[in-house]
Amino acid sequence: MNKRLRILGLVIGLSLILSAGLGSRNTYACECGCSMVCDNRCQFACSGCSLSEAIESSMECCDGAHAATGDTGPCAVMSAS
Amino acid sequence: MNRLPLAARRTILLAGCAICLLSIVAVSVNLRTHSQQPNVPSQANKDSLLKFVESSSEVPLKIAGNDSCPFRILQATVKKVSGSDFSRLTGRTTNQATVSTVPEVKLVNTSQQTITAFLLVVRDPQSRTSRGFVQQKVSIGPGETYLVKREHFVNPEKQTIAATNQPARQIVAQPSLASDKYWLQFDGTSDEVFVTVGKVTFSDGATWLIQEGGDVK
Repeated sequence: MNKRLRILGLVIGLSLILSAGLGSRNTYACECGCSMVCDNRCQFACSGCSLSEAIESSMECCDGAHAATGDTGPCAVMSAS
Repeated sequence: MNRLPLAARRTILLAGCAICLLSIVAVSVNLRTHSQQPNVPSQANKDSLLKFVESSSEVPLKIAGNDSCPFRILQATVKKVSGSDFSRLTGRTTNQATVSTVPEVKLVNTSQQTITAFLLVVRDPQSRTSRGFVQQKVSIGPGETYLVKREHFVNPEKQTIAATNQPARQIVAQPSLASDKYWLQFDGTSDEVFVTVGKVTFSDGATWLIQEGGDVK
């Protein structure tokens, strides 16, 4: 009986450690989104990143966005249609 | 009831308790859901709240990593409102007691070179979230100051305008403080939110990058 209880405890303990580990990995997945706006400015937002990761990922994202759109004009409010 | 066997009475009692417990949980969840829904204010109330927020005083925002930075932050301020006012203004719910706008930041080039690009970031280290922008193609000479307005964090958006006897037309306009884009909605309730310059690029192609450590995290 004691042996069974020990095995059960071990299985539950390992499951908890494994799920906590997986959970923390998901929480800290670094993701950044960005978009090129007017005045050659690229706005970004990052989640799950350290500061260094956020800077690196946002620069990478913004370089890609800038390459795709090219330079953007001034931010004057304008008529669209 | 007394004629029922003991086991049956216990089952009925347990079932009754379970129903009561479930009812209490359902009622409390319902109450919580209702309390999180923003009150929808009239347009006049919303306009007066907007004017109140626009004229409210500026609150300093924590600055980090400033000491070694060649593009030094002189001042960073935000406007703050209660969570309920935020909901009335933007129509969005929040769990935070107070919500801050994106900052207005005044910087100075303390280097001997012209700055051509920089990255400014607002960060909540507790929730590991960051928001900011990369400004390219600028020319900020040595000793010159530069003002980052709140608008720099917010993308101009298309709005439809309809006037009497005229066809509706679309314009591109800067959103007002009633737009949730103007507000920092970090998950944490941390007071550790700070603003910092992450990267500076000079006219000769050299770059300066912030180093993590201490308050810079």
